[in-house]
Amino acid sequence: MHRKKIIDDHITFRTILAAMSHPGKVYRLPEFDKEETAVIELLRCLLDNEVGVAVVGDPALESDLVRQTECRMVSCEEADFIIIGYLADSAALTGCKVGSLEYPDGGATILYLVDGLCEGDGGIVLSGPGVDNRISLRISGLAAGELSRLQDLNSEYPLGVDAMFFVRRRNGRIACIPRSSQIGVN
Amino acid sequence: MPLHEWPKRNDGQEHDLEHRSGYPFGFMDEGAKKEIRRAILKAVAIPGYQVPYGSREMPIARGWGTGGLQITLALIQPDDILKVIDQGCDGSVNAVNIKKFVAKVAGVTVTTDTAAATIIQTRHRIPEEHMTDQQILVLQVPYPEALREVEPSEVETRRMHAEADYSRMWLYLYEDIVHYGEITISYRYPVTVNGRYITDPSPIPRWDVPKLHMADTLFLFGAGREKRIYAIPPHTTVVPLEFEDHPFRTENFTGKSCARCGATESFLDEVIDNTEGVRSFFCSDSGYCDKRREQCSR
Repeated sequence: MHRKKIIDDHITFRTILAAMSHPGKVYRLPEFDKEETAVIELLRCLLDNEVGVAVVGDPALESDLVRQTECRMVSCEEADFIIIGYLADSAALTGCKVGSLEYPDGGATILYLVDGLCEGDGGIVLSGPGVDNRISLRISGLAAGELSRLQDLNSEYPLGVDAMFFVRRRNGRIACIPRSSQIGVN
Repeated sequence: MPLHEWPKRNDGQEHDLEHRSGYPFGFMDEGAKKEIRRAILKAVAIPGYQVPYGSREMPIARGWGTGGLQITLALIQPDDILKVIDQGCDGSVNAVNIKKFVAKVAGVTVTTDTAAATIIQTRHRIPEEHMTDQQILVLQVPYPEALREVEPSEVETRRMHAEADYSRMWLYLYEDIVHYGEITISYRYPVTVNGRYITDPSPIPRWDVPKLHMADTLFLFGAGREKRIYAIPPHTTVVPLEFEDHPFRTENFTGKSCARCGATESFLDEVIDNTEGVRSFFCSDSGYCDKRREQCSR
């Protein structure tokens, strides 16, 4: 792999890690090459052939992901990573992996492609590990009912899923809601 | 081709002129880094839970900080400033070797100043100076399982964590009080993270345990030999195990001060002079001690 790509992956991962350890905070990702490949450039630091991925509502992304990251396409029930396309219907999430009590890390990571992220601006209120008291986050372009679905999936902590919200642009933004966060409505 | 000639090979590819270590950036192969990164993200999402991962062979022996080293290498970026300490000391052989190695394979700047560092890899201490949300502390862990003292079986400790069945740990502490009048654990003091998992904070002294509670910094724990990664995110409750009538207490250095910098508010090492038998105390955190001396001499 080219040295520049390797270093880009390191920088991207650090941004994802910062977002995951500070739920609700919006982080600016390093500039990607193209808007079309932004999802691949984001996930390249995490995905390889050991990871099962499911894509909901974005068939073009499926083949690109497999080609570029060598991940395996599987059903939502088996997937380690689930990518929910912009405003896609995510009813399939109901049966996704939430891990077991012995191995809660088996729970899936869900990447939502959204329109915009804005912190400290109404929307939802998060609290829990990584959050200094409370933080509010507004997510635009997220299908109605998604957050209550997340709340349902995460109702039996430490079982659950970890959500990432990604604004698919060259100057992408990312925010995360891990299962340890409590989601409230403003 | 001899290894030292390999980076200079002329195969038409771009080579970073400054960092011709002969290894890819971050030393490990991308598959290894990706697995470690996925484990780190899950560890952060489930504070205190030990995520299993496939620990790789490193150029240092298992048990010498390979867990911390693998985490550092999976997340380091070129503009990072790295500090490595071993029991508070920047100058110990293990710390210097790890620091040199990472500097070589990632081309990062190194420092001994806690405030200047962006990543600090540490063995058995948390720096005295306050750390910010822009910094990450990577701790090397020999025994990640806090329940190992009371249960040798991994299957059984995993069940205990799954069911939050910690009665035997509490009983162990109670028996300690019955025998000695207080809880005698001096380092690796068990803590409850985010009200759920009993976690081993690595062999830091009791002195450092309160620094984990509601900190601004992300703490990542890597156990290379035991193949576990776990994390304590910022602003997370970390409560040492204690009883109402036997509260947790840190080491007491009342009346003692550092013989080098005069500090009275740092964790002190006791040093006994071999010839005279005189006892003196020094800051365990050498970076903190040096900084204080510098400030005093100005």
